Amino acid sequence: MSKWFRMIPAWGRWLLAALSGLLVFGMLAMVFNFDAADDRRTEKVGFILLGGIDEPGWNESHYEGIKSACEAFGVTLLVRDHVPEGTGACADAIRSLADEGVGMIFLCSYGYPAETRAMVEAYPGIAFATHAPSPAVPNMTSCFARMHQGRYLAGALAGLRTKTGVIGYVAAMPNTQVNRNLNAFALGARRTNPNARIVVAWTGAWEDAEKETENVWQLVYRAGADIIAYQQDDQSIPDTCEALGVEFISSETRLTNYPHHLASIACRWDIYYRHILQRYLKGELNAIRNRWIGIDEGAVHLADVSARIGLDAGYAVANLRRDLTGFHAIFRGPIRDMRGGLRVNAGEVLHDDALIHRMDWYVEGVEFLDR
Amino acid sequence: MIAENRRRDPFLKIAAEFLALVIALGICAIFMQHKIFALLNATMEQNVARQTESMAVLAESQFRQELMVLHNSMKFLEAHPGAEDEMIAGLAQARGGAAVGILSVDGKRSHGNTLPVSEFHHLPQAILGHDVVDYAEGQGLLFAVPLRSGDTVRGVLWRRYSGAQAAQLFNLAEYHADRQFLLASQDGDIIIPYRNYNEEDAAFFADPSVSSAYEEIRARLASAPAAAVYTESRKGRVFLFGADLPETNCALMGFVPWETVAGGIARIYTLVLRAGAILLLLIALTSVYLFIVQAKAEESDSLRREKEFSDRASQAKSAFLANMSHEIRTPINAILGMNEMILREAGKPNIREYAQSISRAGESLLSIINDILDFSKIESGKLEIIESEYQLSRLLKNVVAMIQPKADAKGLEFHLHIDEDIPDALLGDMMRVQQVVINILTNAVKYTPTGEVNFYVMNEKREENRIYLSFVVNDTGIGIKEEDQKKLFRDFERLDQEKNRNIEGTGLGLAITNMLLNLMGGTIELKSIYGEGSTFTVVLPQTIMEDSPIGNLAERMTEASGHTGQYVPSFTAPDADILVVDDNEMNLLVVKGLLKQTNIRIDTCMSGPQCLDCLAEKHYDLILLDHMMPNMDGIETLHRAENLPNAKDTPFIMLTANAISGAKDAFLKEGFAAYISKPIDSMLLEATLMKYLPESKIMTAPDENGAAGADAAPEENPAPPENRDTGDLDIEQGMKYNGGMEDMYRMVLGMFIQLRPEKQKQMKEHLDAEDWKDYATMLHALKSTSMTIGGQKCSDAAKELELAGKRCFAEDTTDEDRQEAVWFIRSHHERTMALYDKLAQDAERWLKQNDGA
Repeated sequence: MSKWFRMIPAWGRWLLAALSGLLVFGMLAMVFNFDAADDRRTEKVGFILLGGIDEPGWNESHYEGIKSACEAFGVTLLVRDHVPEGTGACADAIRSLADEGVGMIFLCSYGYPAETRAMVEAYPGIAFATHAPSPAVPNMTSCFARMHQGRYLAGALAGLRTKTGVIGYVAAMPNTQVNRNLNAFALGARRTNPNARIVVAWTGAWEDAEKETENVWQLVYRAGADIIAYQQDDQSIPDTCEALGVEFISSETRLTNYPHHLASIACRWDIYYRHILQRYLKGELNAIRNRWIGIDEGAVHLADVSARIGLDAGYAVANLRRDLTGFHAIFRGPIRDMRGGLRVNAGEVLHDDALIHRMDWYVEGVEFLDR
Repeated sequence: MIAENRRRDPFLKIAAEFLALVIALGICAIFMQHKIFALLNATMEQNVARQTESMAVLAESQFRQELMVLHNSMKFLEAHPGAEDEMIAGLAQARGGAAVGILSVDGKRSHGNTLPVSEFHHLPQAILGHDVVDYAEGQGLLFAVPLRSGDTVRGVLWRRYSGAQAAQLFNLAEYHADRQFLLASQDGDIIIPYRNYNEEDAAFFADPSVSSAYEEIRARLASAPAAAVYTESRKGRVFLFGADLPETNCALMGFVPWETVAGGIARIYTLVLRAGAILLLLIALTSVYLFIVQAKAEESDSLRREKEFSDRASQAKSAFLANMSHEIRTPINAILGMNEMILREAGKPNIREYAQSISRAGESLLSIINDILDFSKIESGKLEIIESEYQLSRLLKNVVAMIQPKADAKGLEFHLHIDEDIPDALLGDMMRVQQVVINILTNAVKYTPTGEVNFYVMNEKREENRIYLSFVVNDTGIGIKEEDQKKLFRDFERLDQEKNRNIEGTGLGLAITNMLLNLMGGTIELKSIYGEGSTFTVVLPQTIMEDSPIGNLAERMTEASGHTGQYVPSFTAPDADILVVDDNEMNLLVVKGLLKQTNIRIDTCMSGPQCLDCLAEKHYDLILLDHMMPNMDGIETLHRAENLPNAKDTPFIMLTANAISGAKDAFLKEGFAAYISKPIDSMLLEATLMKYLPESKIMTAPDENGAAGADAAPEENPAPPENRDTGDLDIEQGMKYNGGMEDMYRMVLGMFIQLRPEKQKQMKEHLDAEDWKDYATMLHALKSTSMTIGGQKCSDAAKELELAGKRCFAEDTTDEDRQEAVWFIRSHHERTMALYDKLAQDAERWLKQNDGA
């Protein structure tokens, strides 16, 4: 019975032993490397941006926000930046991201959702999200940050701080979002200072440092404003205010070493994106069409509040903030517009959907800078 | 001891290897089992999570239904302003006493029940236009929808359920009876417990392993719709699961027993475990098998090497034995041949007695050598039983002829009892049967100090043409101890060493007997009483050739045995011519002497070529051919002779001292008619010649009485040596040296006289040339031949010259010595030659005087 074995030469026996050892080792290695049927593939998320990811202000803060959210959930972030609106470049970006297997795409420019509707419908398997109002597509959800809550608190702070009763407000151009913010600011100011006047100076552009500077000058020296607030993409106004020695409330940027800086109207974009990403990962992002993320989640807040506002003002603002999470809606009636017409009846509240789509009026106390 | 150690080593090695393997495999098996279990659970966790997800959808849809009811109520209010109270009452009734109410936008009650608004943190979302499902600890589950009117919200319609109410309404367990789950807040508070939720369940959820598993679930839920975790708890092996309900602060959670989830997979798992265990066992067993095979292979390798070694040793031994046999047989040939001459021709009884002693000793020596040779032949499997027709009577005669003298010598009575109806002509290997019988009888005689030896030959059994001969040998000897009887047939075994130490023999006799009987299909039995005697019974089957009974052989032989001691030729063939070829003169003389009384005409020659010359001239009836001859050996000579016309039908018989096993067959194959080994057995020689000589030329042997009478005369009156002066020639001594045969003596003398002039001439030449080596050789020959014919004086003189001659060329001789030796030779040569001449003259004269005799 051992004949066949004896026929194998001695080195052959060693070879046989080595082979069987290798076989056993290979078997074990296979077993240990065999992981569970792990179909939790690494999630990929696409992000399309108008400017460059390193452009300070809007672009950079959004990029940093989604980047930190992706890192928190271990999701891969794929970015397409410098994608201009109205050129079809956004559609190309969506296609290329889809080819790379992303599960979700965030469209981070106001004009994207409308122009890419067909593209979004072509990829029903991908969840789309945007910060802008969106067309009624099942796989697209608008996620709004209640920025107006921050404006409202800023307005309340300005109302408390103003001595002249005139608050200057520099804005790019009238649209629903700008108007909503402006109205919330005005309602806040009038809440703490019922006689306050909010004088608006339009620049006509999101970025126009010269115009902004001129507007600040106008507001201060012609309208008599002693506090300046603004909604512009660039950051030339703080320098102007500092040069003029006028107190100001910044917007969407964190400032230090500006003595006249009272506070920042800030959005925690990381919280915002984390909220969105979490909804996406849990599979409920597109469950509703419009999603609101506000001060109760901590996504919106009044940051860098200066010590110069004093304790009383601080408490007042803090109380207002608390009220915002309760039944004290900002747009609660009665609200009159700048021409005296009743826009919201007493006992009624403008709901969030209305705030998105229809805001072409200005509340009582808002004035346009007379040129 | 060494062998035992070696044998124990592989066992320990195998055990150690096996143990190591089992441990290694066991560890691997445990790891693999854990791995498989973990893999299985991970997969099942995913499955449970997916199922939980779908259950969450189910729960969610129930929530939606509730919200839908409220939405419909809201639309009813829009259509029917002022119907708030009726509608609220209806809503409350529809859901078994749930609290229902409407809030104004500042959170104050406007209709229906009051609500602790501050407890429900998500409720303010309603005035911003969103549906709300909110759970507050101690307050229950709240559903709220905004009362919209265009762009504004006018109030909030809500319905609230306490825990117990909710449990009834949202009994999710109805959908999944096999698992326990409940609705909880995302903080972990249980909103709706499962139906038979009790304290034990509460303890279960408080269990550290369970709560830590829930922490894990919560962590996973941060980025997953649902999650499940395997854990071992007080309820056994379970999967805990959880899923958040979207747009609420509620979660679905619960647990399901491992077995429920695993189901068939559990059986597969068990199967895999068992199959794996069997596989590992198989691997272990296979490895053990391989280990054993390996060990055996190593062992058998070493055994094979040992066997090869011993085989080589055995072959060397055989070669040595064969060589020895040749070396020993050649001188014995001469001794026995010459002795036979003495026996035949010696006149004096005492000389014949001496010669008989020599004969006995020689035979005994020969039998020892034959024993050894036979044994080595049998051992190497080269011994063959060659069957031919033979006469049992002849065999028995030979046996008796061998044994009777031995018995007589010891004074034992040897009785023969032969069944008269046994057929005489049988087929078998006569020599081997004879050997067996002689062996037993020899032993009997050997080991019987006094008393008698009985030899019975009986017809044991008969089947058609087959007879079972029974040879029974019964003695009154020393007997064999019972414990020794088994050892008896073993190799080299001699029993009772002390007692038998003076008994000669190799100890191989019975072993050979036993082996031979095995080869021939016979058996041997022994019955013995120690001290009283033994009985050996040999039963041997032989084929019957002719059914003529053997008759009263015992009587005939007893008569004949009375005349033992004097040789009588078995036949005469005066007309037959034979040629004897041998390079040794003595052998030629022996053959001639042995055949002298058959009156066959014998020619001799001393080499192969000479033989061929003789054959060319004359036809011979038979040729005896030696094997080993210089230049042309017997076989070559035979092949050449076969082509000669005179030798076509002539039988050639091989004479050889080469007794190597298998040699006989080889010779027969070469074309020899028969084979006679040296020393030549005269009986065998005569028998062989009788068989191969032409029948017409064979005459019956002379009348027994006549022969006896004729031979008796010299025995009784031995021829008196010639008293006449024979000079230097001592006739008596010469006759002694020539086997007592006067004819032979005469012939030798004739040769001596004839060769003298030539030899003297050669001696003179060597002397003149100072070729001392050849000179010494010739003088040595002169010394021997002179002695052989009885010329002592001449022999002595020749001896002196021989010694001097040797001194001349020996290496260690000094020059002085050599000169002295040369001087001695030169001064004594002539004198010795004179003695030589005188001896030859004396011999010639004696030959002439006795020519007539």
